[in-house]
Amino acid sequence: MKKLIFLILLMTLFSRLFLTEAYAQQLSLEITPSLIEIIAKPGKSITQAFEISNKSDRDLYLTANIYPFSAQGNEGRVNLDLNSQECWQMPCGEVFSLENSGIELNETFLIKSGENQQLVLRVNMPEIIMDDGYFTFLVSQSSEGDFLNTSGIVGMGAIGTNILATISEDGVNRSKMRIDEFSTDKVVVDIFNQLLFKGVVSNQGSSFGKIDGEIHINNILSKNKVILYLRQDNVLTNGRKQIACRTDTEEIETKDCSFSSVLPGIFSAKLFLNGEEEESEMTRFVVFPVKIFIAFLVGGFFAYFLRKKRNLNKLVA
Amino acid sequence: MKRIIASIFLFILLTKPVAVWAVNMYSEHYTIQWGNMNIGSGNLQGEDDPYGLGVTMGELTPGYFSKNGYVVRSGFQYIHSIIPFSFTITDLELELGNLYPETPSTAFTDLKVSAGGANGYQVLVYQDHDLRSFFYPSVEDIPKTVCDNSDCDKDTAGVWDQDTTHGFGINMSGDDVPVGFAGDTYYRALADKEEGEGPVELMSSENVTRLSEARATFKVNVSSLQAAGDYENSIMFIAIPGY
Repeated sequence: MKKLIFLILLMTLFSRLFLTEAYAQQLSLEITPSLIEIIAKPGKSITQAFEISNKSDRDLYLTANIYPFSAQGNEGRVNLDLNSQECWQMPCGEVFSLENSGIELNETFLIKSGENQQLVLRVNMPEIIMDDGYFTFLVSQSSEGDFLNTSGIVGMGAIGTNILATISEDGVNRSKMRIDEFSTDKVVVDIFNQLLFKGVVSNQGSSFGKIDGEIHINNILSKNKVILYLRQDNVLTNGRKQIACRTDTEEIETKDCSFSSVLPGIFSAKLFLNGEEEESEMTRFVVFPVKIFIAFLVGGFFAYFLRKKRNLNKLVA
Repeated sequence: MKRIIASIFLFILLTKPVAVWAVNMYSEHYTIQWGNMNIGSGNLQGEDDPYGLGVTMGELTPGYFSKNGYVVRSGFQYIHSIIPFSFTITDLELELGNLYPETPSTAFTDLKVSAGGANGYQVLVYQDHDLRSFFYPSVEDIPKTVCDNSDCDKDTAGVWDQDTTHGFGINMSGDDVPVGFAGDTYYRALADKEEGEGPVELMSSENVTRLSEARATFKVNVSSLQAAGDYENSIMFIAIPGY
């Protein structure tokens, strides 16, 4: 009997150690690539393959569709218009189509659990040069008529990828980047502390483009120079984007445009776009050992106070 | 004569062409110059090993290169370092159970996003309509919550803690959720497709993320005037990368 109880306890312990999460009816989708950029001549066709992976625990019925979007804010977010079926002032079905046999836009297709499906999207560029088109290729779960026996919610999922398209006869990029804002979060920063550079770039050209810029930081006293390289973000036509900086490591991560110095000094920071002096903005800041200075100040005050008190005591004595 | 033949033979031996593993390929739409033909590749995995080994031999210039803000990760094996854009919803069937007047019911699902693109991602949400009975329109829908102080809507979260406040709403907690969801008593209504409203943001980040997780908790509280029965709606979660 003791052995049996011990065995049951042991089995319970082992099963708890190796428990895996179990979900009721989950959805898990993956799509690549997550962004495509097209520059093509009027009247030409482009094809792009997307790979959809169904990593769910069940087969999924999906529908692929195209919706236009506009920029939202300064951080690369998308304002999706699900009520519009117009692409470049014509029905999206005239611009976009799927090359797959048996799968059409706005029609349901099946991806089995654990399988991939390649969708080949054809883009027919308009015959005349028009403004840029920005679209989201959205793959949505179709309603499967799941009915609950009590009150409840049927969840559904969709995953998308963005398409930035420019119609151009000569392939020349016609973006025009301007610096709208450039500043630091502090004017005086302590040594070793991080100072953040904040900036917004706008695109006043007629096609989307990438930010190409650098921040040159100079110590006026020592002539040392540090260069921060901006991440090459897309900025849509008439859009704005906050600047971010690249790291030099193998990880694809972005970092704030930040700076710190172990030496005090007066610094100037100049943001250049496209390496041009005409497109630049400057700001200044001071690096000062604030904490050390305060520590000396407080220490000095106490030392003076103690000395004064000692002198007083001597006098009294 | 023999010397000439020997010289020619020696010359051929000494000047044997070195293999060039580059191929030019053409199609109607593309030209690939100096394409790389591998001399061997594959995925090796032992029967009992949890790990595999990807092998590609004969690449021209594999490696990591960076200069002046540009990074090039050259080589077939770097494909494994790409973080794909993926989205998971852990539970699609969310039971609210039997609904009793002024007795809130909740259900939750977890959202998980991986985004390797430089501009991060968004998760948007909308409902097809309010929680609806099978006998609609004879039976009214359960309305959207306005929260305790009538200060919340699809864009703004408010406190919903009182059992005398009725309606249906959503709370978010975890990574990358809007700051308006200050705690687990903060709820928003949902954007309504039937009313022509566009989807609203539930999660977002402007950075690369290997895994961001958040929990969406749905709450419903009916009044004593609400007709008895089962109520249901659909919620669509949309994950889109940044541009």
